[in-house]
Amino acid sequence: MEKSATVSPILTGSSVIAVKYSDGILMCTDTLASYGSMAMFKEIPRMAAIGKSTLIGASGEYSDFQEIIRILRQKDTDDFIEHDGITLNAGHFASYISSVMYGKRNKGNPLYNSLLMGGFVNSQPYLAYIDLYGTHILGDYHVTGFAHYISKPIIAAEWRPDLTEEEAKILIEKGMKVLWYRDARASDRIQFAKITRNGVEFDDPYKFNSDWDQESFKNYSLNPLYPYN
Amino acid sequence: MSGAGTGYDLSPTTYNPEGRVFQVDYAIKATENGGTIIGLKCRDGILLAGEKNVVSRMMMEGSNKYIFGVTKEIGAVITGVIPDGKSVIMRARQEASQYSEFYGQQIKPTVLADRVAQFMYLFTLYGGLRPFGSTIMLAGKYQNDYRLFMVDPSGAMFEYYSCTAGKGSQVCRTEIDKLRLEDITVRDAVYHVCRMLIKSREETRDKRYEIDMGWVSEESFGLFVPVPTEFRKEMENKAKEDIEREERGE
Repeated sequence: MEKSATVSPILTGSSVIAVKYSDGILMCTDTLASYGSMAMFKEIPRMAAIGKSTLIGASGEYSDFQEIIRILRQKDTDDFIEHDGITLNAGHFASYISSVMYGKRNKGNPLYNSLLMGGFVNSQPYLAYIDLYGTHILGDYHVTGFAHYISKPIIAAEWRPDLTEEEAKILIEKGMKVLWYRDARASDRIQFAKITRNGVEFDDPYKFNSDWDQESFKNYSLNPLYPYN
Repeated sequence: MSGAGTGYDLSPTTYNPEGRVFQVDYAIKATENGGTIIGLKCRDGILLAGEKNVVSRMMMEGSNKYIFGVTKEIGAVITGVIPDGKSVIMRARQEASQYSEFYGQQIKPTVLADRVAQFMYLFTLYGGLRPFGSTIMLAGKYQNDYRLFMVDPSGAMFEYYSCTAGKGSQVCRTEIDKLRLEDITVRDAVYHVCRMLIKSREETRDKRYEIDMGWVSEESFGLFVPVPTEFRKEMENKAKEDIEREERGE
């Protein structure tokens, strides 16, 4: 009989952002795994493809993310080898893994992640948010972690259903930049991935520019509420 | 010579004075009465095929397949006692998924074939178990090479360029030996195999039958998949017409 209690996460990823756009779903993460406050692994992928049908991105405990990938890829293989003309899509995987996560949450042994899963269901773009509690929510755009507070308002103000890939990238990069300024566990090296009707594609990760010499940062002490003047 | 029914054939744990284990021999007999199955290693991949009698018009076409995927790159075809073969396939699937969980790598076809053979061999050792009445052919891709294996009820496993089993195996064997396998693709082979399978049917051609095929090849990007039904039917009909024409002496 396995006995395990919840442990705090050890090696973690920060936010994930994903939006529906004209061709499918565009998703972005930074490439950082933090060991508490240490930026331990700065060039690791926090998104993965499950077959050709699903793109998954995770924040939270990295080892649990690896386990989720292993579980879902095995499910994808088990379905493929049946050769029965039926394929599991992102919606199936999302329902499955959210049930797994809910069950483990009830036993006090969660998979410590918030996931975004994108794909197509009935030929329509599908984007789901799934977390360690077993919450499973569909939407036109989703974020995890800190980005709820920082990036989501930016995305919500400008999202449209007919965004082109370029427009969606610019919008998401805005959200990732503000995370770099304000989330102490974020990084400025980000990676985009998309899922379209042709399958999953990963872009090369890159470092974006940021301006730490902004007036509002430099002149923070001029703020009338700054208490140390 | 001790023949059947002389007391040495009651259990797999008994040899006869000539050194045979009759229960294993009887299991092999069961596979010889099954539908013909063929494995061909061609220039660009491996084709697995089989034919079976369709007992009733009420059975849906394409149901009751006996070509199975084991992993994305490895497939199998079975003959003989089909439920026995199916249970070996289920074990093979388990072996494959446990291997990749444990080693983080896809199982090589050689290793999988060995595991299947060891599993079938196990059932020839104990009085409480009977040997599987099924012969399994496994085909898979590993590192730019395609490998074909056949395992019989005794647990003996060999690697092949081409292999046959079941009722029409002798007829198909002679037909295969006429082909130069290194020169044909799996796509070409579909036609040849349809010809062989139709020719090898001892019963009258009026008996309903179904041909089942799967391939792993460059064309399928190294994945084991069923041969597309329309293409297979097209080749089947062409083979049938060609055979009838030859019989009419044209």
